[in-house]
Amino acid sequence: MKPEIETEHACKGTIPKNVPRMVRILDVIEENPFVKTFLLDIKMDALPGQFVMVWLPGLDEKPMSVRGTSEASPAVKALLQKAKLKPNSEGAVAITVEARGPTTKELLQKKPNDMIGIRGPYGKPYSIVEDSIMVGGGVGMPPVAFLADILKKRRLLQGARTKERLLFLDQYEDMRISTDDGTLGHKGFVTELLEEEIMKKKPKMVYACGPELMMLAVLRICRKHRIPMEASLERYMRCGLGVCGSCVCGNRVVCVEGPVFNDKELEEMADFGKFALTKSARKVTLKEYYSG
Amino acid sequence: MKAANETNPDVTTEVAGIKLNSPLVLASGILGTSSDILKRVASEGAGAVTMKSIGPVEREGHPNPNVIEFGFGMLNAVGLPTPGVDNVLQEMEELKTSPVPVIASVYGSTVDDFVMIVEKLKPYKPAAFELDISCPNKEDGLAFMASEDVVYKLVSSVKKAAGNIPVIPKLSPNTHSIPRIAAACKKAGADALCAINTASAMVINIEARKPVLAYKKGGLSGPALKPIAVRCVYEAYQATGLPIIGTGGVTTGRDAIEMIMAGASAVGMGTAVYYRGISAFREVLGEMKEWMRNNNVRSVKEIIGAAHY
Repeated sequence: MKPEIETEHACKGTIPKNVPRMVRILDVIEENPFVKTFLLDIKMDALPGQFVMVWLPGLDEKPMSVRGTSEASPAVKALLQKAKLKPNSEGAVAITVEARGPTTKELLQKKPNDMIGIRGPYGKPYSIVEDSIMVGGGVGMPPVAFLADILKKRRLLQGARTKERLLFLDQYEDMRISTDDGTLGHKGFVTELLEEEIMKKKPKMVYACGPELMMLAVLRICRKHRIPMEASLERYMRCGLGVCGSCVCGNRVVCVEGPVFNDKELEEMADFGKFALTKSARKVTLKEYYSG
Repeated sequence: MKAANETNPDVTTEVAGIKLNSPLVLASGILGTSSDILKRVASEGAGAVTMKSIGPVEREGHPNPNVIEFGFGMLNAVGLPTPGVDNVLQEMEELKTSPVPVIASVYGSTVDDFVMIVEKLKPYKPAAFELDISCPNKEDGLAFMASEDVVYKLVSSVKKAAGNIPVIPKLSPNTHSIPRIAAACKKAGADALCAINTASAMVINIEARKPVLAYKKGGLSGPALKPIAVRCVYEAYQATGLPIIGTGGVTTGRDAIEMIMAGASAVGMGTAVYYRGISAFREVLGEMKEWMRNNNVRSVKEIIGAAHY
C-alpha cells in the first residue's frame, strides 16, 4: 500500500478529515440521570463499534462510541422524526455519553444549537453476523444498540448496576435485562442471562461491550461453548490515529487495530482483563486504571 | 559475476558502533509506550526501536487534542508523558529480549536529571541513549538547544555517566544554527546524532476560533517536515561527519534514500506509521531495495552522504 497523503482537500479549502469540525447539536435526550444522547448535525458513514473524537475547544477531546447514524439506525432516525428535526447535513450521528470526568460533565451541560468538535469515525467495527447474541453492560450499551439496529436476527441483553442506570428501555421491547440489585429484570449478572440464552439456542456470534471484566467473562463463556465472539475495548486515547501508543493493550494498538477485537485476538493480548496504561503510560491493574 | 540488479542489496548499516540489519529505526514517541508493542515493531521489520522518552518523574502530558493530522503532516503536543524512570525499569528488563537494538530516549529539565536517568538505566544495557533536547512541547524542552555551551555541558556530563553506552543527542530544527550545535555535541563526545525532532507549529480551527491542540502549538512531523529534515541532516553531516539517524517525514523508500544521501547512516520513521501502519518498516525497506537494484547500488553504506559535493 502506497501512502495516501491527503493534500487534495487542503488545497481545495475543505477541512481535512483528521481535524475536528464544529457541528451543531440538534437535540439532547436524557436517557437517565447520568447519561444523555446527543444528536449531531453531521452525515457520517459510521459502523457499529466505531468511535468519534469529541472536542470541546479549550477543554479536552475524548473518544466516544457511535450510538447510531440516521441512515443506518432506525432508532436514531426515529429520534429525529419524533423531534421533527431536519439536519442541514442530511444526516445525523448520535453519541450517548455518561458524566464521568470534567469533559463529559461539561458536554452534558450542552443544549441544542450549541457547537462541538467532531472527527472520525475511527477504528475497526464489529463484524455483521446474523443469529447472534449481544451483551451490553452499563455505558457499553450504545455500540451494542447500534449493532442491534442493523441485525435482523439477534437477541439483545443489557446489564446494569441498578434500574436507573439502564439505557434505551423504550427502544427495544425484546431486550432482556439484568440488574445487580434486582430493581428490574434478572437479579444478578448479565452473563447469567447469556448462559441461559446459549442453552436455549446456540448463536453464531456473541458481541460484547461493557466493563472489561464482564467482557472477559463473556469470552470465557463463549470459549466453553465454542462460539465466536467480539468485544470492544476501552483505553485512554490521544491521537486515534495509531501513532502515539497511549492506548496499546498487549502488543495491539486499540484505536486503529480495535477497538473491536475477536476472541482469538483477545486471548493473545497479554493485558486484556488485567492491565491498562494511564495517561503517563504507566501500566497499572484495571482496578487502579478505573479508580484513577 | 552477477549484476547488481540481480543481487539482494546490502541494507545493513552501523550507527555509533551499533550494527543494524535494516537502516529503518522506530523514532521516539511513536508507539514506544510498552515493551510488548516495541517488540512487535521490532518483529515487523524495524532495524532498531526507540523507546518513548523517559523523564525523571511521572508526568501525564497535555490534555487532548494533542495529536492531529492536517493534510500535509501531523502536529503533536503530547507533552512528554512518562511513567518516570523508576517505573520504566521493569519494561527495560523485558526489552532485554528484543530481537533488535533498543535505544532509550531520555529527557530532563537539568543536566542532573539526564545524568540520574542514564545512571539508573545503564545496568539494563540499552543499545544507546538518545538525548531528547529538542521537544517543542514542554516549557523548557528546547533550553539545551539555545547555545553551544549549554549543549556541550549536557552531552559531556551524560557521556561520562553513560560509560561505554553510546550517546546520541537528538537535534531540533528550532535552533539558530544546526552546524554549531552539532559541532558542540561532537566536541562533547557524542557518538552519533539524531536529526531532527518536530518543528514548532500551529493549526487553528477557524469555526472554533481556537488552536486545535490544547497546548496551542505542537511539533510538525510527516511529509511537510521532510525538506527541513533533509537540510538539517545535510548540515549536521557536513559540520561533524558523525553518524546520523536522519528523521523527519520519511514515508517511502525514496524518502529514506534521500535522507541517507543527505548524510544519514540510519533513518528514523514515526509519522509513517500513521500513513502506512506498522508494516511501513517492511514496506519501505522493500522499496529501498528495489530502488537500489534499479540503480546499481549494492550497499546502503556506499550512498551515505552521496549528495555532498
